Amino acid sequence: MGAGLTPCFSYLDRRTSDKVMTVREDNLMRIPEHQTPELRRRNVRLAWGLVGLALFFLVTSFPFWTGIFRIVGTQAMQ
Amino acid sequence: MSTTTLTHDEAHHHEAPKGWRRWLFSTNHKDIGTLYLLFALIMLFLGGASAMLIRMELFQPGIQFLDPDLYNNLVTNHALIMIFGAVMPAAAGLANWMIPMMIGAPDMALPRMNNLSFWVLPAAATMLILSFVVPFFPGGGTQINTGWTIYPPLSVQVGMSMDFLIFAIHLLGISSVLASINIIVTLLNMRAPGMTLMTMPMFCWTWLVTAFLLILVVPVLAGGVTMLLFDRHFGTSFFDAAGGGDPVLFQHLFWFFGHPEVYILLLPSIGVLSHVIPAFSRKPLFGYKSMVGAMLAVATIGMVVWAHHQYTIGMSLGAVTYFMIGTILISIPVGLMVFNFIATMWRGSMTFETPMLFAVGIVLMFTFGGLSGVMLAVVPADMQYHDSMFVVAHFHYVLMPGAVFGLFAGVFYWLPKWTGHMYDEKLGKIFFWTNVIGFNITFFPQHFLGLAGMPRRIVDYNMMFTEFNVVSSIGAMIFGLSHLLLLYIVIKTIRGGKKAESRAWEGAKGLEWELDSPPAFHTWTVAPQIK
Repeated sequence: MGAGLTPCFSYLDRRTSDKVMTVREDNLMRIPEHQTPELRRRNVRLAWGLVGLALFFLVTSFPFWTGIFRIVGTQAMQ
Repeated sequence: MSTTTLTHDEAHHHEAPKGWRRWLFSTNHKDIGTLYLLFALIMLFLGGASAMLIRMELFQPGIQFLDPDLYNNLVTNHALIMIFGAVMPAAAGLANWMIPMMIGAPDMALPRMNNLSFWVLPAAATMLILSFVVPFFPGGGTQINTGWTIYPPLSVQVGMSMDFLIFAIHLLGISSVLASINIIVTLLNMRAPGMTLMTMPMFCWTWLVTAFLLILVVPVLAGGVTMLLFDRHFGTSFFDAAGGGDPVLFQHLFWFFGHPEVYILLLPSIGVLSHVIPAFSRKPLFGYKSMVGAMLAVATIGMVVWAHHQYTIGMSLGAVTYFMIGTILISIPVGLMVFNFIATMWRGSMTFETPMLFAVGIVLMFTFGGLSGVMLAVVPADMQYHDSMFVVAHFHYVLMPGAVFGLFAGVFYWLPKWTGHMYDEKLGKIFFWTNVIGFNITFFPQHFLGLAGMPRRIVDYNMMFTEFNVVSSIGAMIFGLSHLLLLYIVIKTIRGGKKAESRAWEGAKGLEWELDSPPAFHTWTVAPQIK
């Protein structure tokens, strides 16, 4: 590690206080070892928010809203 | 299935797994980055082969060896493979490799989703390739001759190959959106302590903006092609005027995706340049804040000017005026970026290694492509240029230097970091010059062909266009074959060469250069403190 960079904390140490862990040898897709439960929750929460944004754009690409505008416009005229 | 108990240190500092499982089940950002880059390289050669067939056919007037439908199949195939198969995955490969190392994170925020994002791609590519080959089988229907824009009503009439393409687009979209979500979460939540958004490396900024653009526009394309699927098979009339629908609606949906897609392809390369130019000018990037602002402006304005691709559909005067002014406005932030790059080079202690050669080439040629873009943005002029070879020349001048050369610059810049070996500089320079000369011989004459009236997407042409087409085709052969040299250089560098130091380039700055070359399988397991 170069000058000006000092280790301030370890993600690993924040996640586990115990000194041993059990892993399945044939499972390479381990639970991310470098994230605290709190960081993991924040990551997943933000990811779901972004999924929601993508779904909003997907749904509004269907032109149902032109019909809604027409209905609203018609009712406003009455 | 066996289990084993590891001590704390063993559990967290394990070496790279061996065999095929390393790649299939990988959650390691470097391995997934390598997979993306390998996939992109394969697709680059597939898309390149189709381009060379197109240029061979256009070598002379008359029909040589491709029937018109097959020619248009190749045009469709070339664009889709290059955009979705080569450039986007290559940029995602750079992002996977570099973002965690640049921000001091041990990996991407959602490593298993990262694995899924990549492995959806080969399935999508299979569907994409099938859409081109099924017409050759009995009962396979007509060729997919729509071009990459797949406008209805033609795309409603095409055979089952269109269904393969629609599902391929869905899969590619899922892959892109998942990868984008991962990148945004990584950049917002996983930065090393002390690294703020405004001290984040510029490559990370460009990817943050790109990822948001992808999340906003790819679902719209997915919606458009889903409606197309319904029109084809389930009796709806979204795009059928006879049933009360509107074919122009598809054009709006497609270009709402299609225009920001240009910036999606472009911005990661701008990010690469923001590292390469300062490194080889031995100066910090000029105007970091203005670069961020320009990027946000490009993304914002780029989202609301899509209909400049559709001037000829008969929009109102007010609408075309709005889209024209908006499009021309984009040249301001883009010009600012180019200005910042030139200002960074100004009075710098410049050297011209291969990445820097590509960077300087990009600044020149991308600016040229931008200028022809301003010509096309002007409505009365565009009415003349529309669907001519001038458009082909314009967008290749934007996308080849702007996106692909930027990726080449990134590959040469970071190859020593990835492999631990310096590439052969002499071969790198030969590659640059053959590539750039071949590119210009191919596409520069196409401006004149377009201005003289040669339409694009037509297999045959008038005798008067012969000379420029001959030149363009010869250039295309040089350009296409030069990529074999790239392949050779990359393989040679992976296999050996002069040992690269941690900081492979004298002027390189950033956290990634604090790590060994090649970096360990897991890096930044202890986060660095940025002061």
